[in-house]
Amino acid sequence: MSVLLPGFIMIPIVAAVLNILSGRLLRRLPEIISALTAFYLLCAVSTLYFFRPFNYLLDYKMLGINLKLDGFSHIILLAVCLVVFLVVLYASAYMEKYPGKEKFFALYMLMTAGMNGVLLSRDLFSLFLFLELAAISTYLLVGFKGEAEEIEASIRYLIIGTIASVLILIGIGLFYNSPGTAKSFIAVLFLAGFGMKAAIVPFHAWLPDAHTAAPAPVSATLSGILIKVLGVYALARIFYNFLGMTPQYSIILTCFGILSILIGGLLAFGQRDLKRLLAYSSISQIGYIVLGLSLGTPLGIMGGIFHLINHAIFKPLLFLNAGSVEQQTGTRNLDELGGLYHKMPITSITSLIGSLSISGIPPFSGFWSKLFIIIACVQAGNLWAATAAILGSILTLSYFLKVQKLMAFDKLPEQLKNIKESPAIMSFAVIILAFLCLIAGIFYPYVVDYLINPAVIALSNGVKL
Amino acid sequence: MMSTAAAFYFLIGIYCIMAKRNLIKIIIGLIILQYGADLYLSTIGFRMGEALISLTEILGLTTTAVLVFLSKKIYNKIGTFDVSKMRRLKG
Repeated sequence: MSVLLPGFIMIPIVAAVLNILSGRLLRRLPEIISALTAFYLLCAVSTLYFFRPFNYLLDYKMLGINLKLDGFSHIILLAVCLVVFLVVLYASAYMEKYPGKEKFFALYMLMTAGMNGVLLSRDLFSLFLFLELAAISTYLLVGFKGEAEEIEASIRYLIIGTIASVLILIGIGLFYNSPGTAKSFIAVLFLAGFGMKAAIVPFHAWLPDAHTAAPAPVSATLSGILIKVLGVYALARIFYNFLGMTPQYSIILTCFGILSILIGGLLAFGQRDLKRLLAYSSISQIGYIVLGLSLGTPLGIMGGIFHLINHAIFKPLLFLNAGSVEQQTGTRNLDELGGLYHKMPITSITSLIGSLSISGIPPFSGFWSKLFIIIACVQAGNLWAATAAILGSILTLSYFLKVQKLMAFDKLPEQLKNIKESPAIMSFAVIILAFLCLIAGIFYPYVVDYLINPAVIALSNGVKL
Repeated sequence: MMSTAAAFYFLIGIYCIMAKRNLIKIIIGLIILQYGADLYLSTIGFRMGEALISLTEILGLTTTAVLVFLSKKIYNKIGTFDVSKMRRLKG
């Protein structure tokens, strides 16, 4: 089954080239090619779940790059392929009004190839190569609308992203050069570099601008999977499997996690722009994931990975709904919205499900992952972290209730009398995501057993606490 | 000696990016930053370092090209390279 592995990188790249070539022939061809590619990737990653070997390490050599798949990369690869597929479906209707659709889909496929490459590569050298491939295509995607504000956000993201890449690069150089001598310095470089990519709090400056400026499908991908693959996944992989987790790193990462939860939540609370609020909420939720992973206990890692997967489902859902609202009403200012429940029922109900899930209301998936993280904090004897996680959860609930009240349940303003529900294919994508929120919440023991536990085993093999 | 020079380059690059208002000077700062990284990697002196240098040269060139393209586009929109004149995105 390891023959399937190079396809995750090569097929999106081929699709990107085909998109550019075919866009002039037929207007609909790029999105059909991209949707088929994404569907193939989803099928392939699901197939691997049925044929996974016992030792759970697939190995394949491509052009001198060793591709490896273990439990941790597999679950995130599944999330990536799922989100990419649904977002491509959504984008095929959403990108209708933008010129140069074939360029959008080509860049999107390149970004997918980069993310898959980061997940499959197992040496720092090829990890850096694929990370840059994903990052460079994202810089262009963020500024895709082409207005001054969007380009400014894109430039800011590019400058911060390049500084992060240089820090990571120097870290890689030091890692291979000096065996063991300056390990803490290497850890600091990696933490700053990947922290910028993951938008953990002291390094989060680029994220709200980039998420707000990007078109909705790109914000959904950025927030849902890109910052996790490029940031959190790489950080976890390096700290667990390359450097080895020590108590010092654990404490530092826990502090960053708590800071992200509280500061992200507080900043989100004051926002009036729907997408900007969701962007700050992403920072807060990334804090939960980092907090869970930083504890180093199996339960903490499990909670962190579970929350990562949940966040990869409900945050794209919320961002895609924000995109639908913006497209139909022409605004994303919460003060100008209201009463959408009657006019856009699917968008309102799915975003209600997403909001309840992200704030941790019991039947939905977000509740279990947050509960695992809080229990793991208590078990690890870190009561401060547990308190911060509960506080962050209350904050999340309060600002998502605010969103729901102002957007869906208030009185419908006069100028929004004639709005309609978004196109069917956009609704289809969000319904699937909302359904997954519910399924993952109700059947959480199976999700944990079949999907999360192999990842926990793969990561905790490298724990040295 | 070489790594001190690399650190010097690195600091100059960071200073340029932080302190300069002109977008072109920020781009030059980024290029200096990347040269600092390359100079450091050249002191490693084994095959990994060489491969990393050729990789970063290509990636750095691509990033710079993208940045120049975006700068040209924003110059066409607002008619200046001055970062402080750009619309302030809310914090």
